[in-house]
Amino acid sequence: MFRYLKLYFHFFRNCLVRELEFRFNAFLLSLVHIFWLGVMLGSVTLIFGQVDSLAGWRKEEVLILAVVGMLFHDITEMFFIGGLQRFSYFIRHGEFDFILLKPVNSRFMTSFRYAEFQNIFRIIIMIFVLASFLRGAGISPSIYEWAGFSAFFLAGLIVFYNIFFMVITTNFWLINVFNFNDIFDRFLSAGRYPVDIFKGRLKPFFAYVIPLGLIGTFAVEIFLGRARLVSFWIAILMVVVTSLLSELFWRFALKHYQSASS
Amino acid sequence: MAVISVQNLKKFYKVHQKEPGFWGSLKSLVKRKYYDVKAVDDISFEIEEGELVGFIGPNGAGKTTTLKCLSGLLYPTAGQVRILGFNPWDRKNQFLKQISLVMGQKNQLWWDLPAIETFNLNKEIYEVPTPQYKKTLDELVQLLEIEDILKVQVRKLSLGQRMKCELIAALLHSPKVLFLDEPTIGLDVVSQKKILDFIREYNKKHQATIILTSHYMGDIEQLCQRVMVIDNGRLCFDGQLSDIIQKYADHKLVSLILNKEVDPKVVAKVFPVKEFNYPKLVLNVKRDQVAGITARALEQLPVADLSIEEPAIEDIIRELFTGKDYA
Repeated sequence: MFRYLKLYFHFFRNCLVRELEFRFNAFLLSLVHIFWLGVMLGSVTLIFGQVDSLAGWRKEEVLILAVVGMLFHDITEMFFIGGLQRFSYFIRHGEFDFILLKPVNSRFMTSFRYAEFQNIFRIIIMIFVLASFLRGAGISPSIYEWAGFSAFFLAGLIVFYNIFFMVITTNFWLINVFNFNDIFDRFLSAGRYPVDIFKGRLKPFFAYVIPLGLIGTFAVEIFLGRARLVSFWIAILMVVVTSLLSELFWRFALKHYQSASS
Repeated sequence: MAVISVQNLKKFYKVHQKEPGFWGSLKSLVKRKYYDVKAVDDISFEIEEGELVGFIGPNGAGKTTTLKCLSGLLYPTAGQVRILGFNPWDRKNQFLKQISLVMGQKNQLWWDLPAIETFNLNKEIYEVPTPQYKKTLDELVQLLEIEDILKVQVRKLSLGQRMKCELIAALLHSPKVLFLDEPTIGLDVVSQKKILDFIREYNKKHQATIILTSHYMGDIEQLCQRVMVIDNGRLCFDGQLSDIIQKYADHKLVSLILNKEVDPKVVAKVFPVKEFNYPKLVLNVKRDQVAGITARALEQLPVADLSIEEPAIEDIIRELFTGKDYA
Protein backbone atom coordinates (compact mmCIF):
# COMPACT_ATOMS: atom_id res chain seq x y z
CA MET A 1 0.00 0.00 0.00
CA PHE A 2 2.79 2.40 0.99
CA ARG A 3 4.61 1.56 -2.24
CA TYR A 4 1.55 2.51 -4.29
CA LEU A 5 1.08 5.75 -2.38
CA LYS A 6 4.71 6.58 -3.07
CA LEU A 7 4.25 5.73 -6.74
CA TYR A 8 1.14 7.84 -6.92
CA PHE A 9 3.06 10.71 -5.44
CA HIS A 10 5.63 10.33 -8.24
CA PHE A 11 2.94 10.19 -10.95
CA PHE A 12 1.36 13.26 -9.46
CA ARG A 13 4.68 15.07 -9.26
CA ASN A 14 5.48 14.30 -12.90
CA CYS A 15 2.06 15.55 -13.98
CA LEU A 16 2.55 18.71 -11.97
CA VAL A 17 5.96 19.32 -13.57
CA ARG A 18 4.43 18.71 -17.00
CA GLU A 19 1.53 21.09 -16.40
CA LEU A 20 3.84 23.79 -15.12
CA GLU A 21 5.31 23.71 -18.61
CA PHE A 22 1.94 24.91 -19.85
CA ARG A 23 1.02 27.44 -17.16
CA PHE A 24 -1.21 29.51 -19.40
CA ASN A 25 -3.26 26.43 -20.27
CA ALA A 26 -4.04 25.81 -16.58
CA PHE A 27 -5.02 29.46 -16.11
CA LEU A 28 -7.28 29.41 -19.16
CA LEU A 29 -9.00 26.19 -18.16
CA SER A 30 -9.73 27.62 -14.72
CA LEU A 31 -11.33 30.67 -16.34
CA VAL A 32 -13.48 28.46 -18.60
CA HIS A 33 -14.51 26.44 -15.58
CA ILE A 34 -15.63 29.54 -13.66
CA PHE A 35 -17.69 30.48 -16.71
CA TRP A 36 -19.41 27.05 -16.70
CA LEU A 37 -20.03 27.34 -12.98
CA GLY A 38 -21.81 30.62 -13.71
CA VAL A 39 -23.88 28.96 -16.48
CA MET A 40 -24.82 26.10 -14.15
CA LEU A 41 -25.89 28.37 -11.31
CA GLY A 42 -27.67 30.64 -13.80
CA SER A 43 -29.71 27.70 -15.16
CA VAL A 44 -30.75 26.70 -11.62
CA THR A 45 -31.82 30.30 -10.96
CA LEU A 46 -33.78 30.29 -14.23
CA ILE A 47 -35.65 27.11 -13.24
CA PHE A 48 -36.54 28.59 -9.88
CA GLY A 49 -37.87 31.69 -11.63
CA GLN A 50 -40.70 29.41 -12.78
CA VAL A 51 -41.18 27.05 -9.83
CA ASP A 52 -40.83 27.27 -6.05
CA SER A 53 -39.38 23.83 -5.55
CA LEU A 54 -37.94 21.02 -7.62
CA ALA A 55 -39.26 17.61 -6.54
CA GLY A 56 -39.37 18.93 -2.98
CA TRP A 57 -35.95 20.63 -3.11
CA ARG A 58 -35.67 24.36 -2.44
CA LYS A 59 -33.50 26.63 -4.61
CA GLU A 60 -30.63 26.92 -2.11
CA GLU A 61 -30.65 23.11 -1.69
CA VAL A 62 -30.43 22.52 -5.45
CA LEU A 63 -27.61 25.07 -5.67
CA ILE A 64 -25.67 23.12 -3.03
CA LEU A 65 -26.28 19.91 -4.96
CA ALA A 66 -25.15 21.55 -8.22
CA VAL A 67 -21.89 22.65 -6.63
CA VAL A 68 -21.32 19.20 -5.10
CA GLY A 69 -21.95 17.69 -8.56
CA MET A 70 -19.35 19.98 -10.11
CA LEU A 71 -16.90 19.20 -7.32
CA PHE A 72 -17.48 15.51 -8.02
CA HIS A 73 -16.71 16.12 -11.69
CA ASP A 74 -13.53 18.06 -10.94
CA ILE A 75 -12.22 15.39 -8.58
CA THR A 76 -12.83 12.59 -11.10
CA GLU A 77 -11.01 14.65 -13.74
CA MET A 78 -8.13 15.32 -11.44
CA PHE A 79 -7.53 11.77 -10.28
CA PHE A 80 -8.54 9.28 -12.95
CA ILE A 81 -10.32 10.64 -16.01
CA GLY A 82 -7.02 11.80 -17.55
CA GLY A 83 -5.57 8.29 -17.44
CA LEU A 84 -8.74 6.57 -18.60
CA GLN A 85 -9.15 9.03 -21.49
CA ARG A 86 -5.70 8.15 -22.78
CA PHE A 87 -6.35 4.42 -22.63
CA SER A 88 -7.89 4.16 -26.09
CA TYR A 89 -4.81 5.88 -27.57
CA PHE A 90 -2.48 3.56 -25.67
CA ILE A 91 -4.29 0.50 -26.98
CA ARG A 92 -4.36 1.73 -30.57
CA HIS A 93 -0.70 2.69 -30.59
CA GLY A 94 0.53 -0.26 -28.55
CA GLU A 95 1.89 1.93 -25.75
CA PHE A 96 -0.11 -0.12 -23.29
CA ASP A 97 2.77 -2.60 -23.72
CA PHE A 98 4.90 -0.44 -21.46
CA ILE A 99 2.26 -0.46 -18.75
CA LEU A 100 2.00 -4.24 -18.84
CA LEU A 101 5.77 -4.61 -18.69
CA LYS A 102 6.07 -2.75 -15.41
CA PRO A 103 6.12 -4.65 -12.11
CA VAL A 104 3.14 -2.65 -10.90
CA ASN A 105 -0.58 -3.42 -10.91
CA SER A 106 -1.62 -2.64 -14.50
CA ARG A 107 -5.00 -1.28 -13.47
CA PHE A 108 -3.37 1.16 -11.09
CA MET A 109 -0.95 2.33 -13.79
CA THR A 110 -3.73 2.71 -16.35
CA SER A 111 -6.01 4.67 -14.07
CA PHE A 112 -3.72 6.88 -12.05
CA ARG A 113 -0.63 7.59 -14.12
CA TYR A 114 -2.00 10.88 -15.38
CA ALA A 115 -3.38 13.28 -12.82
CA GLU A 116 -4.80 16.52 -14.21
CA PHE A 117 -3.28 18.82 -11.67
CA GLN A 118 -4.83 21.96 -13.09
CA ASN A 119 -8.13 20.84 -11.50
CA ILE A 120 -6.75 21.64 -8.06
CA PHE A 121 -7.56 25.35 -8.58
CA ARG A 122 -11.10 24.46 -9.60
CA ILE A 123 -11.54 22.13 -6.63
CA ILE A 124 -10.41 24.85 -4.23
CA ILE A 125 -12.84 27.30 -5.84
CA MET A 126 -15.69 24.77 -5.59
CA ILE A 127 -15.00 24.08 -1.91
CA PHE A 128 -15.21 27.80 -1.15
CA VAL A 129 -18.41 28.13 -3.17
CA LEU A 130 -19.91 25.11 -1.36
CA ALA A 131 -19.02 26.54 2.07
CA SER A 132 -20.57 29.87 1.10
CA PHE A 133 -23.80 28.23 -0.22
CA LEU A 134 -24.11 26.13 2.94
CA ARG A 135 -23.81 29.29 5.02
CA GLY A 136 -26.31 31.03 2.76
CA ALA A 137 -28.82 28.21 3.30
CA GLY A 138 -28.30 28.41 7.06
CA ILE A 139 -26.76 24.94 7.21
CA SER A 140 -23.80 24.32 9.49
CA PRO A 141 -23.06 20.57 9.37
CA SER A 142 -21.67 18.76 12.40
CA ILE A 143 -18.47 16.74 12.13
CA TYR A 144 -20.59 13.55 11.86
CA GLU A 145 -22.56 15.01 9.00
CA TRP A 146 -19.33 15.97 7.23
CA ALA A 147 -18.07 12.40 7.77
CA GLY A 148 -21.31 10.94 6.38
CA PHE A 149 -21.21 13.33 3.42
CA SER A 150 -17.57 12.39 2.70
CA ALA A 151 -18.35 8.65 2.93
CA PHE A 152 -21.18 8.94 0.39
CA PHE A 153 -19.09 11.20 -1.81
CA LEU A 154 -16.19 8.71 -1.75
CA ALA A 155 -18.54 5.78 -2.44
CA GLY A 156 -19.87 7.71 -5.45
CA LEU A 157 -16.35 8.30 -6.75
CA ILE A 158 -15.46 4.61 -6.38
CA VAL A 159 -18.64 3.43 -8.10
CA PHE A 160 -18.25 5.83 -11.02
CA TYR A 161 -14.60 5.02 -11.37
CA ASN A 162 -15.46 1.30 -11.52
CA ILE A 163 -18.27 1.80 -14.04
CA PHE A 164 -16.18 3.89 -16.39
CA PHE A 165 -13.21 1.65 -15.94
CA MET A 166 -15.40 -1.18 -17.24
CA VAL A 167 -16.43 0.99 -20.19
CA ILE A 168 -12.84 1.77 -21.18
CA THR A 169 -11.88 -1.88 -20.73
CA THR A 170 -13.99 -2.65 -23.81
CA ASN A 171 -11.21 -0.90 -25.76
CA PHE A 172 -9.39 -4.24 -25.75
CA TRP A 173 -11.91 -5.41 -28.33
CA LEU A 174 -13.40 -2.23 -29.74
CA ILE A 175 -10.03 -0.39 -29.88
CA ASN A 176 -11.58 3.02 -30.15
CA VAL A 177 -14.13 3.84 -27.48
CA PHE A 178 -12.99 7.39 -27.54
CA ASN A 179 -16.13 9.37 -26.82
CA PHE A 180 -16.87 7.77 -23.51
CA ASN A 181 -16.00 11.06 -21.86
CA ASP A 182 -19.09 12.65 -23.45
CA ILE A 183 -21.31 9.94 -21.94
CA PHE A 184 -19.56 10.46 -18.65
CA ASP A 185 -20.23 14.22 -18.80
CA ARG A 186 -23.92 13.60 -19.49
CA PHE A 187 -24.20 11.37 -16.43
CA LEU A 188 -22.43 13.87 -14.24
CA SER A 189 -24.60 16.72 -15.51
CA ALA A 190 -27.73 14.72 -14.72
CA GLY A 191 -26.35 13.94 -11.26
CA ARG A 192 -26.29 17.65 -10.40
CA TYR A 193 -30.08 17.56 -9.99
CA PRO A 194 -31.97 15.68 -7.24
CA VAL A 195 -32.80 12.10 -8.25
CA ASP A 196 -36.33 12.79 -6.95
CA ILE A 197 -37.05 14.51 -10.28
CA PHE A 198 -37.37 11.02 -11.77
CA LYS A 199 -40.82 9.60 -11.17
CA GLY A 200 -42.30 6.11 -10.97
CA ARG A 201 -40.19 3.16 -12.11
CA LEU A 202 -37.48 5.43 -13.51
CA LYS A 203 -36.55 6.73 -10.08
CA PRO A 204 -34.97 3.58 -8.61
CA PHE A 205 -33.27 2.95 -11.94
CA PHE A 206 -31.61 6.36 -12.16
CA ALA A 207 -31.05 6.69 -8.43
CA TYR A 208 -29.53 3.30 -7.75
CA VAL A 209 -28.81 1.35 -10.92
CA ILE A 210 -27.09 4.02 -13.02
CA PRO A 211 -26.54 5.38 -10.08
CA LEU A 212 -26.96 9.12 -10.35
CA GLY A 213 -27.92 9.43 -6.66
CA LEU A 214 -24.35 8.67 -5.67
CA ILE A 215 -23.03 11.72 -7.51
CA GLY A 216 -24.47 14.15 -5.04
CA THR A 217 -28.08 13.63 -3.97
CA PHE A 218 -27.40 11.04 -1.23
CA ALA A 219 -24.43 12.96 0.14
CA VAL A 220 -26.23 16.33 0.20
CA GLU A 221 -29.29 14.75 1.86
CA ILE A 222 -27.12 14.21 4.92
CA PHE A 223 -26.60 17.98 5.20
CA LEU A 224 -30.32 18.49 4.75
CA GLY A 225 -31.23 15.94 7.45
CA ARG A 226 -33.07 13.74 4.93
CA ALA A 227 -30.62 10.84 4.68
CA ARG A 228 -32.22 7.52 3.63
CA LEU A 229 -31.06 4.20 5.07
CA VAL A 230 -31.65 2.50 1.71
CA SER A 231 -29.12 4.85 0.12
CA PHE A 232 -26.49 3.70 2.60
CA TRP A 233 -27.01 0.00 1.78
CA ILE A 234 -27.17 0.68 -1.94
CA ALA A 235 -23.89 2.62 -1.76
CA ILE A 236 -22.11 -0.26 0.00
CA LEU A 237 -23.58 -2.82 -2.39
CA MET A 238 -22.61 -0.79 -5.46
CA VAL A 239 -19.05 -0.27 -4.21
CA VAL A 240 -18.57 -4.01 -3.63
CA VAL A 241 -20.31 -5.21 -6.81
CA THR A 242 -18.73 -2.72 -9.22
CA SER A 243 -15.25 -3.21 -7.69
CA LEU A 244 -15.52 -6.95 -8.11
CA LEU A 245 -17.01 -6.85 -11.60
CA SER A 246 -14.56 -4.30 -12.95
CA GLU A 247 -11.57 -6.25 -11.62
CA LEU A 248 -12.80 -9.55 -13.06
CA PHE A 249 -13.57 -7.90 -16.41
CA TRP A 250 -10.11 -6.30 -16.50
CA ARG A 251 -8.35 -9.62 -15.83
CA PHE A 252 -10.42 -11.30 -18.51
CA ALA A 253 -9.68 -8.50 -20.98
CA LEU A 254 -5.92 -8.61 -20.39
CA LYS A 255 -5.89 -12.12 -21.80
CA HIS A 256 -7.32 -10.74 -25.04
CA TYR A 257 -4.83 -7.94 -25.47
CA GLN A 258 -3.40 -8.09 -28.98
CA SER A 259 -1.00 -5.15 -28.80
CA ALA A 260 -0.38 -3.03 -31.90
CA SER A 261 1.98 -3.98 -34.65
CA SER A 262 5.49 -2.53 -34.59
CA MET B 1 19.62 -24.59 -17.36
CA ALA B 2 18.45 -22.46 -20.28
CA VAL B 3 17.42 -18.92 -19.36
CA ILE B 4 14.87 -18.88 -22.18
CA SER B 5 13.02 -22.04 -23.13
CA VAL B 6 10.32 -22.04 -25.80
CA GLN B 7 8.35 -25.16 -26.72
CA ASN B 8 5.93 -25.30 -29.65
CA LEU B 9 4.87 -21.69 -29.29
CA LYS B 10 1.92 -20.65 -31.43
CA LYS B 11 0.15 -17.31 -31.67
CA PHE B 12 -2.72 -16.95 -34.11
CA TYR B 13 -4.79 -13.80 -34.60
CA LYS B 14 -8.21 -13.28 -36.06
CA VAL B 15 -8.02 -10.31 -38.39
CA HIS B 16 -10.88 -8.76 -40.31
CA GLN B 17 -10.50 -7.91 -43.95
CA LYS B 18 -12.03 -4.79 -45.47
CA GLU B 19 -12.43 -3.99 -49.12
CA PRO B 20 -11.10 -0.57 -50.10
CA GLY B 21 -13.23 2.57 -50.30
CA PHE B 22 -16.43 3.81 -48.75
CA TRP B 23 -18.57 0.93 -50.05
CA GLY B 24 -16.08 -1.52 -48.57
CA SER B 25 -16.35 0.25 -45.21
CA LEU B 26 -20.16 0.04 -45.33
CA LYS B 27 -20.06 -3.65 -46.18
CA SER B 28 -17.60 -4.31 -43.41
CA LEU B 29 -19.94 -2.51 -41.01
CA VAL B 30 -22.69 -5.04 -41.72
CA LYS B 31 -20.71 -8.18 -42.31
CA ARG B 32 -17.07 -8.67 -41.52
CA LYS B 33 -14.84 -11.31 -43.04
CA TYR B 34 -12.33 -12.74 -40.62
CA TYR B 35 -9.30 -14.83 -41.32
CA ASP B 36 -6.62 -16.39 -39.16
CA VAL B 37 -3.11 -15.00 -39.20
CA LYS B 38 -0.49 -17.46 -38.01
CA ALA B 39 1.90 -14.88 -36.57
CA VAL B 40 3.93 -17.54 -34.75
CA ASP B 41 3.50 -21.12 -35.83
CA ASP B 42 4.99 -23.82 -33.64
CA ILE B 43 8.47 -22.58 -32.84
CA SER B 44 10.86 -24.05 -30.26
CA PHE B 45 14.29 -22.96 -29.08
CA GLU B 46 16.44 -22.53 -26.00
CA ILE B 47 18.87 -19.74 -25.09
CA GLU B 48 21.56 -20.00 -22.44
CA GLU B 49 22.64 -17.32 -19.99
CA GLY B 50 24.75 -14.56 -21.53
CA GLU B 51 23.93 -15.44 -25.14
CA LEU B 52 23.31 -12.61 -27.59
CA VAL B 53 21.07 -14.04 -30.29
CA GLY B 54 20.06 -12.36 -33.53
CA PHE B 55 16.43 -12.87 -34.52
CA ILE B 56 15.91 -12.06 -38.18
CA GLY B 57 13.17 -12.34 -40.75
CA PRO B 58 11.26 -10.22 -43.28
CA ASN B 59 8.49 -7.81 -42.26
CA GLY B 60 5.54 -9.62 -40.71
CA ALA B 61 7.56 -12.81 -40.16
CA GLY B 62 6.60 -13.02 -36.47
CA LYS B 63 9.67 -11.56 -34.75
CA THR B 64 7.92 -8.93 -32.67
CA THR B 65 4.99 -11.22 -31.83
CA THR B 66 7.47 -13.80 -30.52
CA LEU B 67 9.21 -11.19 -28.36
CA LYS B 68 5.85 -10.00 -27.06
CA CYS B 69 4.90 -13.54 -26.13
CA LEU B 70 8.24 -14.03 -24.37
CA SER B 71 7.84 -10.84 -22.38
CA GLY B 72 4.32 -11.77 -21.26
CA LEU B 73 2.44 -9.13 -23.26
CA LEU B 74 0.56 -11.60 -25.42
CA TYR B 75 -1.14 -14.81 -24.40
CA PRO B 76 -0.13 -17.57 -26.80
CA THR B 77 -2.57 -19.75 -28.70
CA ALA B 78 -0.52 -22.80 -27.67
CA GLY B 79 2.89 -23.79 -26.39
CA GLN B 80 5.05 -23.29 -23.34
CA VAL B 81 7.57 -20.61 -22.48
CA ARG B 82 9.84 -20.34 -19.44
CA ILE B 83 11.97 -17.26 -18.90
CA LEU B 84 14.31 -17.43 -15.89
CA GLY B 85 12.02 -20.20 -14.64
CA PHE B 86 8.89 -18.00 -14.84
CA ASN B 87 5.83 -18.36 -16.98
CA PRO B 88 5.76 -14.89 -18.64
CA TRP B 89 1.94 -14.66 -18.75
CA ASP B 90 1.70 -14.82 -14.99
CA ARG B 91 3.40 -11.40 -15.15
CA LYS B 92 4.80 -11.80 -11.67
CA ASN B 93 6.63 -8.76 -10.36
CA GLN B 94 9.76 -10.86 -9.76
CA PHE B 95 9.75 -11.78 -13.45
CA LEU B 96 9.03 -8.28 -14.74
CA LYS B 97 11.85 -6.87 -12.62
CA GLN B 98 14.34 -9.09 -14.44
CA ILE B 99 13.38 -8.46 -18.04
CA SER B 100 13.11 -5.52 -20.39
CA LEU B 101 11.69 -4.97 -23.85
CA VAL B 102 12.95 -2.13 -26.01
CA MET B 103 10.94 -1.32 -29.11
CA GLY B 104 12.65 0.96 -31.59
CA GLN B 105 9.37 2.40 -32.82
CA LYS B 106 7.64 3.04 -29.53
CA ASN B 107 8.64 5.06 -26.56
CA GLN B 108 8.04 4.89 -22.86
CA LEU B 109 9.57 8.26 -22.03
CA TRP B 110 7.27 11.04 -20.81
CA TRP B 111 7.03 13.21 -23.90
CA ASP B 112 6.81 16.64 -22.26
CA LEU B 113 9.33 16.00 -19.51
CA PRO B 114 13.11 15.62 -19.51
CA ALA B 115 14.25 11.98 -19.71
CA ILE B 116 15.66 12.14 -16.18
CA GLU B 117 12.08 12.35 -14.83
CA THR B 118 11.18 9.03 -16.50
CA PHE B 119 14.39 7.52 -15.12
CA ASN B 120 13.49 8.66 -11.60
CA LEU B 121 9.99 7.24 -12.00
CA ASN B 122 11.35 3.90 -13.21
CA LYS B 123 13.61 3.79 -10.18
CA GLU B 124 10.49 3.84 -8.01
CA ILE B 125 8.54 1.43 -10.21
CA TYR B 126 11.35 -1.14 -10.19
CA GLU B 127 12.25 -0.36 -6.55
CA VAL B 128 15.92 0.16 -7.38
CA PRO B 129 17.88 1.17 -4.23
CA THR B 130 19.19 4.76 -4.50
CA PRO B 131 22.96 3.95 -4.46
CA GLN B 132 22.52 1.27 -7.14
CA TYR B 133 20.35 3.60 -9.19
CA LYS B 134 22.93 6.37 -9.09
CA LYS B 135 25.74 4.00 -10.01
CA THR B 136 23.83 2.40 -12.90
CA LEU B 137 22.58 5.73 -14.21
CA ASP B 138 26.08 7.27 -14.16
CA GLU B 139 27.49 4.24 -15.92
CA LEU B 140 24.81 4.18 -18.64
CA VAL B 141 24.90 7.94 -19.16
CA GLN B 142 28.68 7.85 -19.61
CA LEU B 143 28.60 4.85 -21.93
CA LEU B 144 26.01 6.47 -24.18
CA GLU B 145 27.44 9.99 -23.76
CA ILE B 146 24.19 11.78 -23.01
CA GLU B 147 25.17 13.88 -19.97
CA ASP B 148 24.12 17.10 -21.72
CA ILE B 149 20.60 16.01 -22.75
CA LEU B 150 19.34 14.50 -19.50
CA LYS B 151 17.49 17.66 -18.58
CA VAL B 152 16.11 18.44 -22.04
CA GLN B 153 12.43 17.67 -22.74
CA VAL B 154 12.06 14.40 -24.64
CA ARG B 155 10.03 16.03 -27.44
CA LYS B 156 13.03 18.24 -28.22
CA LEU B 157 15.48 15.34 -28.64
CA SER B 158 16.60 13.81 -31.92
CA LEU B 159 15.63 10.21 -32.76
CA GLY B 160 19.11 8.94 -31.86
CA GLN B 161 19.18 10.79 -28.55
CA ARG B 162 15.72 9.51 -27.73
CA MET B 163 16.74 5.93 -28.47
CA LYS B 164 19.70 6.24 -26.15
CA CYS B 165 17.37 7.51 -23.41
CA GLU B 166 14.94 4.65 -24.14
CA LEU B 167 17.76 2.19 -23.63
CA ILE B 168 18.69 3.75 -20.31
CA ALA B 169 15.06 3.72 -19.15
CA ALA B 170 14.90 0.01 -20.03
CA LEU B 171 18.16 -0.90 -18.31
CA LEU B 172 18.08 1.04 -15.05
CA HIS B 173 16.87 -2.02 -13.18
CA SER B 174 19.72 -4.11 -14.67
CA PRO B 175 17.54 -6.75 -16.36
CA LYS B 176 18.98 -10.22 -16.84
CA VAL B 177 16.99 -10.79 -20.01
CA LEU B 178 16.72 -8.12 -22.66
CA PHE B 179 14.51 -8.16 -25.75
CA LEU B 180 15.62 -5.58 -28.30
CA ASP B 181 13.19 -5.06 -31.15
CA GLU B 182 14.90 -3.04 -33.85
CA PRO B 183 16.73 -0.68 -31.52
CA THR B 184 18.64 0.98 -34.38
CA ILE B 185 15.74 1.64 -36.73
CA GLY B 186 15.93 5.06 -38.38
CA LEU B 187 19.27 5.97 -36.78
CA ASP B 188 22.26 7.42 -38.59
CA VAL B 189 25.46 5.34 -38.81
CA VAL B 190 27.15 7.10 -35.90
CA SER B 191 24.24 6.58 -33.52
CA GLN B 192 23.81 3.02 -34.81
CA LYS B 193 27.40 2.17 -33.98
CA LYS B 194 27.13 3.76 -30.55
CA ILE B 195 24.04 1.73 -29.71
CA LEU B 196 25.58 -1.51 -31.00
CA ASP B 197 28.80 -0.96 -29.04
CA PHE B 198 26.71 -0.31 -26.01
CA ILE B 199 24.66 -3.51 -26.40
CA ARG B 200 27.86 -5.54 -26.81
CA GLU B 201 29.36 -3.93 -23.71
CA TYR B 202 26.20 -4.46 -21.66
CA ASN B 203 26.01 -8.12 -22.69
CA LYS B 204 29.66 -8.70 -21.76
CA LYS B 205 29.60 -6.82 -18.49
CA HIS B 206 26.30 -8.10 -17.08
CA GLN B 207 26.20 -11.53 -18.70
CA ALA B 208 22.71 -10.51 -19.84
CA THR B 209 20.80 -12.79 -22.17
CA ILE B 210 19.75 -10.76 -25.20
CA ILE B 211 17.54 -11.36 -28.21
CA LEU B 212 18.05 -8.73 -30.89
CA THR B 213 15.86 -8.22 -33.94
CA SER B 214 16.99 -5.92 -36.68
CA HIS B 215 16.46 -5.31 -40.37
CA TYR B 216 20.09 -4.30 -40.66
CA MET B 217 22.15 -7.43 -41.13
CA GLY B 218 25.18 -5.34 -40.15
CA ASP B 219 23.77 -5.12 -36.60
CA ILE B 220 23.41 -8.88 -36.39
CA GLU B 221 26.82 -9.56 -37.94
CA GLN B 222 28.55 -7.25 -35.53
CA LEU B 223 26.92 -8.57 -32.37
CA CYS B 224 25.61 -12.09 -32.73
CA GLN B 225 27.25 -15.42 -33.25
CA ARG B 226 23.99 -17.28 -33.13
CA VAL B 227 21.02 -16.33 -35.28
CA MET B 228 17.48 -17.55 -35.59
CA VAL B 229 15.69 -16.97 -38.88
CA ILE B 230 11.90 -16.78 -38.84
CA ASP B 231 9.56 -16.52 -41.79
CA ASN B 232 5.77 -16.89 -41.94
CA GLY B 233 5.81 -17.60 -38.23
CA ARG B 234 8.07 -20.64 -38.56
CA LEU B 235 11.65 -20.94 -37.42
CA CYS B 236 13.63 -21.90 -40.51
CA PHE B 237 17.18 -21.65 -39.18
CA ASP B 238 18.74 -21.67 -35.73
CA GLY B 239 22.51 -21.84 -35.50
CA GLN B 240 25.81 -20.08 -35.91
CA LEU B 241 25.84 -17.15 -38.30
CA SER B 242 28.75 -18.74 -40.15
CA ASP B 243 26.62 -21.87 -40.73
CA ILE B 244 24.12 -19.81 -42.71
CA ILE B 245 26.86 -19.15 -45.21
CA GLN B 246 27.81 -22.82 -45.36
CA LYS B 247 24.23 -23.96 -45.59
CA TYR B 248 22.66 -21.46 -47.95
CA ALA B 249 25.53 -19.94 -49.95
CA ASP B 250 26.50 -22.45 -52.57
CA HIS B 251 28.45 -19.76 -54.44
CA LYS B 252 31.61 -17.77 -53.83
CA LEU B 253 32.55 -14.43 -55.28
CA VAL B 254 35.74 -14.27 -57.33
CA SER B 255 36.81 -10.63 -57.72
CA LEU B 256 39.31 -9.77 -60.42
CA ILE B 257 41.06 -6.47 -61.14
CA LEU B 258 41.97 -6.32 -64.83
CA ASN B 259 44.86 -4.32 -66.23
CA LYS B 260 43.52 -4.16 -69.80
CA GLU B 261 40.01 -3.62 -71.16
CA VAL B 262 38.15 -6.65 -72.55
CA ASP B 263 34.79 -6.98 -74.30
CA PRO B 264 32.16 -7.56 -71.58
CA LYS B 265 29.99 -9.61 -73.98
CA VAL B 266 32.83 -12.02 -74.67
CA VAL B 267 33.61 -12.37 -70.95
CA ALA B 268 29.94 -13.01 -70.15
CA LYS B 269 29.85 -15.86 -72.65
CA VAL B 270 32.76 -17.65 -71.00
CA PHE B 271 32.48 -16.74 -67.31
CA PRO B 272 29.55 -16.50 -64.79
CA VAL B 273 29.67 -12.70 -64.48
CA LYS B 274 27.92 -11.11 -61.51
CA GLU B 275 29.02 -7.55 -62.26
CA PHE B 276 31.56 -5.88 -64.49
CA ASN B 277 32.74 -2.31 -64.04
CA TYR B 278 36.16 -2.04 -65.60
CA PRO B 279 38.64 -2.64 -64.10
CA LYS B 280 36.64 -4.69 -61.56
CA LEU B 281 35.05 -7.96 -62.63
CA VAL B 282 33.10 -10.09 -60.15
CA LEU B 283 32.27 -13.73 -60.92
CA ASN B 284 29.60 -15.70 -59.10
CA VAL B 285 31.08 -19.19 -58.99
CA LYS B 286 29.72 -22.46 -57.58
CA ARG B 287 31.82 -23.67 -54.68
CA ASP B 288 33.01 -26.85 -56.43
CA GLN B 289 34.05 -24.90 -59.53
CA VAL B 290 36.06 -22.16 -57.82
CA ALA B 291 39.50 -23.68 -58.47
CA GLY B 292 38.83 -24.48 -62.12
CA ILE B 293 37.21 -21.18 -63.09
CA THR B 294 39.82 -19.14 -61.19
CA ALA B 295 42.63 -20.95 -63.00
CA ARG B 296 40.90 -20.38 -66.36
CA ALA B 297 40.37 -16.67 -65.59
CA LEU B 298 44.05 -16.24 -64.75
CA GLU B 299 44.94 -17.91 -67.98
CA GLN B 300 42.49 -16.14 -70.33
CA LEU B 301 42.07 -12.65 -68.80
CA PRO B 302 44.59 -9.84 -68.13
CA VAL B 303 44.37 -10.16 -64.32
CA ALA B 304 46.29 -7.71 -62.13
CA ASP B 305 44.80 -8.81 -58.80
CA LEU B 306 42.42 -11.50 -57.54
CA SER B 307 40.47 -12.30 -54.37
CA ILE B 308 37.95 -15.01 -53.43
CA GLU B 309 35.21 -14.04 -50.95
CA GLU B 310 32.12 -15.42 -49.33
CA PRO B 311 28.98 -13.57 -50.46
CA ALA B 312 27.70 -10.85 -48.11
CA ILE B 313 25.47 -12.29 -45.39
CA GLU B 314 22.87 -9.68 -46.28
CA ASP B 315 22.70 -11.05 -49.85
CA ILE B 316 22.36 -14.60 -48.58
CA ILE B 317 19.50 -13.68 -46.28
CA ARG B 318 17.80 -11.69 -49.02
CA GLU B 319 18.04 -14.62 -51.41
CA LEU B 320 16.88 -16.93 -48.65
CA PHE B 321 13.72 -14.90 -48.07
CA THR B 322 13.09 -14.36 -51.75
CA GLY B 323 13.70 -17.96 -52.80
CA LYS B 324 11.95 -19.39 -49.71
CA ASP B 325 13.92 -22.60 -50.01
CA TYR B 326 14.80 -23.57 -46.47
CA ALA B 327 15.61 -27.20 -47.16
